[in-house]
Amino acid sequence: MTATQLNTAPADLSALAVTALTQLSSVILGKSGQVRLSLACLLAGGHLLLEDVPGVGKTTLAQALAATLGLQFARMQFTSDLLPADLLGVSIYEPQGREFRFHEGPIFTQLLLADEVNRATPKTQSALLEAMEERQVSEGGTTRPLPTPFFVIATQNPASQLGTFALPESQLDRFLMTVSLGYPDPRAERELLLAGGRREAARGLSPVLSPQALLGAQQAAAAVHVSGALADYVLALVSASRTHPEVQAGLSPRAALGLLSAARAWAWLSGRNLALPEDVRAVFPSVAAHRLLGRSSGAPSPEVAASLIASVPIP
Amino acid sequence: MTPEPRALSLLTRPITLRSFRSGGRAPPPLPAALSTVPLLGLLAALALCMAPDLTRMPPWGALLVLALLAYRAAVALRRAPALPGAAQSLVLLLLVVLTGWGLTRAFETLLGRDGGTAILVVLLALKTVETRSGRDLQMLVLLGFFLTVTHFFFVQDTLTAVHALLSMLALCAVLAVSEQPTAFAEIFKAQNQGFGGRGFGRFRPLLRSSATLLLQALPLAAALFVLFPRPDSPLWQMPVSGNQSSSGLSDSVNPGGISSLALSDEVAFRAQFDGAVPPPSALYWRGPVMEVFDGAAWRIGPSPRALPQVVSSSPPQSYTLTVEPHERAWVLALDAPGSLPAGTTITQNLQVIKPTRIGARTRFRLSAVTTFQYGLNADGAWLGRNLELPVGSNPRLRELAAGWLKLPPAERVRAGLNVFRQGGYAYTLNPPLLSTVNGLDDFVFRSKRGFCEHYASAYAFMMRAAGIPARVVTGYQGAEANGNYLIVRQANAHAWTEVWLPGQGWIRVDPTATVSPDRIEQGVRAIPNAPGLSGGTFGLFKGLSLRLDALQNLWNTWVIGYDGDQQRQLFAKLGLGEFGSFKLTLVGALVLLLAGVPMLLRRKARAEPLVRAYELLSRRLKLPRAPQEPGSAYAVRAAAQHPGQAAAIEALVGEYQTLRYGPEPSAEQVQAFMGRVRGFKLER
Repeated sequence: MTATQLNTAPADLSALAVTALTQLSSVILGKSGQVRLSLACLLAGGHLLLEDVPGVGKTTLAQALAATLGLQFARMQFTSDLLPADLLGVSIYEPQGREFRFHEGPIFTQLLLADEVNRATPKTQSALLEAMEERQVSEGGTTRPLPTPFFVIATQNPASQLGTFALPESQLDRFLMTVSLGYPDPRAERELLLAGGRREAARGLSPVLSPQALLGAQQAAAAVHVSGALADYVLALVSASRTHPEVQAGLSPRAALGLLSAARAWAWLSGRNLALPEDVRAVFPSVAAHRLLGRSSGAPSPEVAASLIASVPIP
Repeated sequence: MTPEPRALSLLTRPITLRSFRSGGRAPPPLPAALSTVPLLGLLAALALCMAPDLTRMPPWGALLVLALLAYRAAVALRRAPALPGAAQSLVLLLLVVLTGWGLTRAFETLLGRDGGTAILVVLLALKTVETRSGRDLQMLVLLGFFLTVTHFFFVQDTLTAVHALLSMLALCAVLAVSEQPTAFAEIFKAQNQGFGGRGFGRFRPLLRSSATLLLQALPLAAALFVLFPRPDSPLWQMPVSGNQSSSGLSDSVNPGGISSLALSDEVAFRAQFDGAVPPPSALYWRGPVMEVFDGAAWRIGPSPRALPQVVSSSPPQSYTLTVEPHERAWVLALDAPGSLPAGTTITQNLQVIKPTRIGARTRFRLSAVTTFQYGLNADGAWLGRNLELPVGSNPRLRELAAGWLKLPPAERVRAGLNVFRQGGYAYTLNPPLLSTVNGLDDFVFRSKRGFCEHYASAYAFMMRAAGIPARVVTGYQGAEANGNYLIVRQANAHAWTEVWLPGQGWIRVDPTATVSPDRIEQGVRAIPNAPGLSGGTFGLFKGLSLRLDALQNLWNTWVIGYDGDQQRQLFAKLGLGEFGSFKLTLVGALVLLLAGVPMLLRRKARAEPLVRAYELLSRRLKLPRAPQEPGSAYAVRAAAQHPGQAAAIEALVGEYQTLRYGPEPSAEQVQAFMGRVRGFKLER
């Protein structure tokens, strides 16, 4: 990485983002849509929830993202006996200095992979989610800021599996997007089988962006123009979700803001400096599906998100 | 933006070949935006609206309609598979053709009232099958309202009004549920609570909002009812199928003709007197007068069109007559008419006639003199016709009457009545069968059991044989008092006799009164052991039935009877008397136009110029754009339709997207875009 790359102009940043996308897609085979969504989520400054059955490459994706973006990376495997202090850090009495010294936990990193977040107890889950929202850790009367940028990529097994604590709606709302990888298509899977696992390849990726460049890219994405008409469209989608007969609760204002910033990031990734309804439609299922819980099932309902997209007129 | 057709719609859009073509070119299949509860509600409401029509349709039609509604409900509940689009369109088209043919066979035409409403009902039921979107629902609700109105083409009584009210409540409730699903979501959580949970009380909020909708419409409806110009004659005549028979008097009298009516509780007409009601013995309501006897039946003869000379010796009593439709021209006026309602004439036989048949409930203002003399100067030819008897008929009666020829005329009249008074005659609704030849002989000398038409016929025959001009008059006798008005039912149908005496003119003689005075004083119900007269208005039901009839009378007076005449009177009272109907129509039309202007203006103002330009583009492309279709998808679809112009289309759509979603464009930029859209032409 050279100094010129670090101070790239916005147009070059966009080109770098495309390079990053290409590199990620070479590791995560046949999932370019999901990869693009994940990158857009991070560009919008949001946390990402990867939801799928074990073994489809959730961890690999998280590692590849960290490597490509050149972020400091820590991984935490969540278990049912994990305590908040294991995650945030703990103050330990040091006899030499006759004082308590804070030992930072794994959360003090730029990209935290919270693996199988729904295996931890609600107490630990909420400690993580508080840190996600405030981007700081309070311990022993001192508030310690987390590094910038700070992202959490959490992976989650479907709640129906044994030994899981489902995240409540309020905590699901903290994640900007949910991305589901799904099984690879046969061609990609065949390639995977012949080339061996991708975990090593993911670790070995060279960084395309630096944390500073990523912050610049975030700023550039946040500057993408949003017109009144587009805001009206987001508003129409959100209010339609609130009157939809098949969901428990509609989308929150936080979800609406997140939808807009995700659409901006998506537009920026497409090399545009204005957001279109197409961008909103592209990110809407990922942003909305985990926030719209079915009235009868209580589970996220992608069908409702799809039906909203298909029925709300574009102003 | 104008809503574009969302689903393949058989009834609202002409069917083109493209409708059936599958593939990427048709508009993208759009979502089932209509959820289950409003749809089921719609089906129930429509079933309610259609109920009266189903009873008027051929049974196969009613079954088809119910089956279609049930099928749609089953599809909504996922109990039945939905047909794929093209197959469904074909099936529906086939059904339209088949039912159209079947209903044409059943009703002779689809243009008239009966066939027209029947086909409307069938089409509505078919439309439910392809109902998918909220817009379809709104259209069906609108058609439901129209269907509700059509019931008044058939019957205009209070029951129809109540049915219409219930139907409109149901339709408004469907609208409320479809517009605000969340507001009423609690009500329909039936599977969670069990249906019996809070009973029907939980429907109250829905009912309230639906009633509010109706009440809001009430002032406008009332204003239109009062102010809308009412023509004095119908603007058009409803074609009615010829095979309808309505009960009432006929133009001939033969034994059994009136006794069939005597069992009917149907109201023939109502009368409301301004002052005192005449006594029951004076309540003879005149119908057709029979002057020709052919040996078996009495018929109406040619009546001289000259004004009858009536000498009245009592003051005229004014009353209002409300006649139920009977498809005849007869106005059943009380004897003898003192003044005539506008637009009617009177025959020399004292019968009031309307130039057209009475096909709808009609009100007349009349007056009557109950003590009168008429026909004092009847001419010889007329009287001669009232002496004619068929040669050789009923020889025994002739022989009996010939014995009275020596008596003075008044004595002959009395002698005739004495035959019935002293011969052991009885009044019955079930007379024994009479011989087809010389039936009157058989009646007078053998059976001695008969109804009013037997006595009137036999008496008129005897009088003619005794040289006294006589004839049979049919009409209604008596009435049932209900509050301040009288009800006359078909059961009050009666036949009596008139004889002409020199110096006295035509005199009413009612031989039935001689045999059974109760029949005249108290009505046919007073006859003991009159068979077939049970239930109905007797006992506990009597009071309720009379109360309902009072309601019906109010309805007739204030709603049905509100005609051009009453409207003019009302306007005169309001100081608008000089307003003619035509001027009023003009003013009304003008007011409606003016009321529409703000709506038009607002509609124009709402669409921004840029959006208008985009709409113009979709019209130029002859490719409707779905409201939820993003620009890029539309551009792809349009480019696929017109590959030669793909680049131009994509450029225009792209420019629209930039203007619409980029930084606020200047008016010139929008103008320039509009110019480019205008300049765009489809290549052939």
